[in-house]
Amino acid sequence: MKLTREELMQMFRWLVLVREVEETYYKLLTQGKKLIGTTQFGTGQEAIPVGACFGLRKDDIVMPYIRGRGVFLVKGIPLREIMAGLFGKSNGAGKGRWAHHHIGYKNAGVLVSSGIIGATIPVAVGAALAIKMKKTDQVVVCFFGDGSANAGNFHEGLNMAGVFRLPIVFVCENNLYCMSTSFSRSTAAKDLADRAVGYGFTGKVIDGNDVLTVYETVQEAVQKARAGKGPTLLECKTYRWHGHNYDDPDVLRPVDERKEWMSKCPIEMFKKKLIKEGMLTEKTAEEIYRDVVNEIDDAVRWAEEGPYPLHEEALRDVSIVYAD
Amino acid sequence: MRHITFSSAIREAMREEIARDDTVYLIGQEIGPFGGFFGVTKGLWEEFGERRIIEPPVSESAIVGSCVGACMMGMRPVAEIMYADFLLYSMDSIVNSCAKARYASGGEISMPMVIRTAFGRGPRFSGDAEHVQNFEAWFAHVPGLKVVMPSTPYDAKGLLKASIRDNNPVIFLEHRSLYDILTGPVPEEEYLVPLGKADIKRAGKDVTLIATGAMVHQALSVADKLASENISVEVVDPRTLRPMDTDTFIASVKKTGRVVILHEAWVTCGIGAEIAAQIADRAFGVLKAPIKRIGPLESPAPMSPILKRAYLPDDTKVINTIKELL
Repeated sequence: MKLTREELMQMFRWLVLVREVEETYYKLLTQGKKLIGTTQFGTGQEAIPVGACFGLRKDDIVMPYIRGRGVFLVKGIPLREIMAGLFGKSNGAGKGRWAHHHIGYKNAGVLVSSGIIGATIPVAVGAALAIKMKKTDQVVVCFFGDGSANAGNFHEGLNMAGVFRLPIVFVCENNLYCMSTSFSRSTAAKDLADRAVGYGFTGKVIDGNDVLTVYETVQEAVQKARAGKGPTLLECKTYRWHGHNYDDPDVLRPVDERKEWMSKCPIEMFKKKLIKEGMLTEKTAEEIYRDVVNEIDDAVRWAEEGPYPLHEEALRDVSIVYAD
Repeated sequence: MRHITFSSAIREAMREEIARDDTVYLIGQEIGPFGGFFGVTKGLWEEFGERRIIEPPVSESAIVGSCVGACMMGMRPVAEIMYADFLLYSMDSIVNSCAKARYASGGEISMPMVIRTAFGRGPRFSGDAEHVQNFEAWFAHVPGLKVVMPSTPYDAKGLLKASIRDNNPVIFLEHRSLYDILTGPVPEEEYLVPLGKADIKRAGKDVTLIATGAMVHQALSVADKLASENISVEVVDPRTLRPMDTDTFIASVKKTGRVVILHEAWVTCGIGAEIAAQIADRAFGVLKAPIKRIGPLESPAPMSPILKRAYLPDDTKVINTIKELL
């Protein structure tokens, strides 16, 4: 599982890309651009989508969660299409019909998600059930937040995955808050990972800001699932830098709590580590940043130039209509 | 032609479709060795094994949700939800995950799944209020879903086969009193009944009586009684509630000028309200009387015998309503 220098650099680039995409999204909103959908950011939580998706096969399946743009990117949805999705364009992921953070993408193994908290868990479990029935050795990685872990669907989905020994890894991004409701005020358990025992499998708490820890732990769980040994629940402790969404002034979380977590930036920590091990220099890091910014600028331009879906398309794909 | 039960017809449909298509599987409480709570899946587990006949935990929300995920991976699940009332527990999975998945994916994926469920009161069932309800209107309300309610073994088999082959999600509603009691002619050869097409169960010229589920048979019994009084009743069975074959209703109303709608769901905002609105919209000029809807008492279904008998409309009520229109 030792990563080559090239792979580590690629991982670093992904972290930078995910961060810059989130911050670009934020900036576009500040500029008053006409974007669709609700405005949740994954800033601060980059190590989880990057670490978790880095080692997955193209034919592995992911169920992202609402702050999962990083999952889209690393799993292989083109950045241009993600951007066009933000603008609600018909050549964007989702074709302007569905919230851009809940789109699916067949070629990248990304399942369509729903905004109903917890609803995606049984859907991911169903995908794993299909994999078991078809006897392929694909694995499903299902992401969700701490909020979902208290929904009934979490219980039903994890129990079903456990009893059927399905090839699925549950990755909980516990960023310690629903909107403004803290984890400690909404959850009776101290660690969500403890719940795995109730479903017949292992749960682990890990540092969600350490991309290599996330990568290694998820890989271990993925290999276990691929070998037919059933599910795992990974609780990644992390923190989001922005409020719940763009309109949230974020005045209810303690300032020093946020400061402390921001000092544990997943990108800065990884960069320092790579520099210390002689794999990266500040200069190369800057070049990577510049390259990423160029890629994003190109994607935004492409998205802005794209067409909007028109009235004629309004009823398309609601149902499949058969000619008489 | 051979006559088989409503239950056998449904079982045959599933058996044939499972044998025909590797991606079709069943999932539901007790559908394995137990044969299903109403015995509909009897023998299927023995024939196809636990890979095709899956018994999940009591988790209706996840059962339906898992079907959505399986569809995304190319499977064609047929879920059995023991009592239609339990669909309330899966409402989010049905309405928000299932019905919208194709739209959400811009047509990349489809939801070729069927949810079969048993509803309604019957002589042999205890009939608790929360075990007999009729929510077809709730599902017929949702773009993306199809809703089917057969009334005969012939329709049940043909419609279920067609539903399983349909790439849209279908809610397939089976009236439980018909399972073992109702028999009817069913060909041995392969056939399908198309979704979205109503059926004239009995031709007539004085009144159009549109009925669903088990009430189709009550409608036929009423038509028989009125025939001896020289009142000719045309009994129309919608068979599919979404998409509804309004053209057939309109053609009938153009003949008779009078409509009564009979269903087991509560009248207020029941499926009859939609049928009535469509007829009023398109056949207003030919109506000779107001459109009438008949259903049970507006209360939870009672258990005690006298109340129980009063709950569903009897033949007399239907006959009197028809006569008022003439």
